[in-house]
Amino acid sequence: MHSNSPPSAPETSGNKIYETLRQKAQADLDAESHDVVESHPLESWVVGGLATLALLFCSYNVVMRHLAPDLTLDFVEEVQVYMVIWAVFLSLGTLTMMDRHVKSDFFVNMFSPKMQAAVALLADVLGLIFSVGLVYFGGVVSYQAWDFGDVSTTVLRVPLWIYFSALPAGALLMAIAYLVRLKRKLFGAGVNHA
Amino acid sequence: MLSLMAPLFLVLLLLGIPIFLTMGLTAGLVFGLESSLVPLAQKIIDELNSPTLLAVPYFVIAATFMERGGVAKALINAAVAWIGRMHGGLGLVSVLTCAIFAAMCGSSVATAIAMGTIMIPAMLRAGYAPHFAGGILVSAGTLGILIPPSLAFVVYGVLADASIPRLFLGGVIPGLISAGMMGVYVYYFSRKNGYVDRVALPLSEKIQKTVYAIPALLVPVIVLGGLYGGFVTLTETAALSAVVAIILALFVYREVKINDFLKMMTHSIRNAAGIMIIIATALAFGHLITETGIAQKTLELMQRLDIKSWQFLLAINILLIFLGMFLEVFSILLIVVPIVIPLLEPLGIDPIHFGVMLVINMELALMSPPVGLNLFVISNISKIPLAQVLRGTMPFFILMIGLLLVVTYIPVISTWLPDYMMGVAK
Repeated sequence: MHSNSPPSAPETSGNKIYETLRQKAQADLDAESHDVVESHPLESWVVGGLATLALLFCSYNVVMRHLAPDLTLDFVEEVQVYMVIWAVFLSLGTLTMMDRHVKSDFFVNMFSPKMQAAVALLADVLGLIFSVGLVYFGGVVSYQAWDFGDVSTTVLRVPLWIYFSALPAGALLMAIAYLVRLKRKLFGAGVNHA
Repeated sequence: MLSLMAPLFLVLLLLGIPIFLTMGLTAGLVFGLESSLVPLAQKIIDELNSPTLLAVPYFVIAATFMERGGVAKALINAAVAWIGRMHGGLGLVSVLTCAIFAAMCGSSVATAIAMGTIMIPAMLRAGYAPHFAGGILVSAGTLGILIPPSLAFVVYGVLADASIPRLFLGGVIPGLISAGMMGVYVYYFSRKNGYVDRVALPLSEKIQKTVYAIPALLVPVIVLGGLYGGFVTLTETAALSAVVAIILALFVYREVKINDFLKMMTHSIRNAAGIMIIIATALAFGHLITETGIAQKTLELMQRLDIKSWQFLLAINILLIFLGMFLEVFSILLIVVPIVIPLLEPLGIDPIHFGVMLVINMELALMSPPVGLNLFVISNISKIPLAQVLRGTMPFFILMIGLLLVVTYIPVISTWLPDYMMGVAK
């Protein structure tokens, strides 16, 4: 049966303080961004699932290489890249929505609130332009790979458009997130998501 | 082209536009003016098609589960049992367990949080000055990226095309020196202030707590042993760390519920995505840097001015410490490395030595105001005011500057172990 407490729990008061602090730290970390977006169960299943599968494939090969080399799978290295990169790109929408992209906001924080809001708006507009560009040009790259029938150079000969299209797909999610953020900023009266 | 790139890049960066956009838009503009944006998109997706890069998300998954999975508590209980009675015992436990945790987890922030949440309240209860307790954790937490495995070394290795296993080994001796220096200072300060922690446990309990920590202590043995024993590749090492961290969190220490597993995986991938998207744009940006010939021009200028490698390293260190005050670790790495790497070979600087020096600088960046991430994290989780945490961090910051100078000017400290274990690099 699953239990939350470790097998040999030391001093209970210490544990309680530790638990409170740990929860607080976790909450602080989760709330690092301005508007917290709960992961949609679909996102958890797809993104978390792809990453889990990639880890399982990789571990399977490590174990089998030493126990039964004949049973190792040739395609693991290639397929895990596709799975993880798809998972990464599919996360970009939520990452953008949560405003968790790494940035250097030290100087901006010294601006007046009005200027800060203007800069935040500019960041979203630039983000939208860049994302739309990636959707289009990433789409061109994927289409060309499909049109020319490009396949990977490994045994598996995976059609490369399957991998390439992670870029326009992720960029599309990012573009949607930027659009939603812009809409909230421009029309969401009283809600400050900047 | 350079006259267009540099101002645009700087304005976007200073305006706080996300780093991936700053690099992507600058590269996009130049690519667009030169030909079309298709090659940029192609470059971004091609650069990510690399098994080595998978080490980044895998190490992030490992860090997420280690941080929240009860590993920290097991290590601390064992360390307290053995060295808790010394002067500054809890402080020393913090340094020691941060160093051990750093050998399992490649993230400094995760190390500081995992250890800080337990050790700071314990030290405060034992009567330690809050600034001292906070300072220890801010500083010892930074060991996460110096002692292998290290996310910072993975990112640097990818950008600089340097051997990541060598970089990991390069961080070992400076990491141990760093932990040693911190330990000595903690002991000295505690002795001076009369911090004695009267934690005396019978031998049976000491053994029991050690046995409980064994699964956690086995992580570096499995993971790093696998890598240097030649059993697994770097990516597999990262995957193994992640799998072991998940097993410890779910089944051994049971601090993570099975229901939360997918949510935590998603959380990890999302954090990794933030780094991966910058890496992809930074690699495209680096490609542009090479094309502009900035490196060649800088090199010619340096030769004209007769700048020696030691002067170059000093200048880079000063620049990095300055940048470290305003930028976050991965931003510095991803901005500076593509520009500086082409200069290393002509100046006769070993990329492994440079990488270790860079990572020590990144540690300083995590400790230095106004945007040192570890300062915020520790202040946040302990509720010790930032100013106090900063005050407590300063002595350690000065020690780390000393280490930086030593590592910068005595390259053998970072190159001896990789050369000894893996042969001298060609």
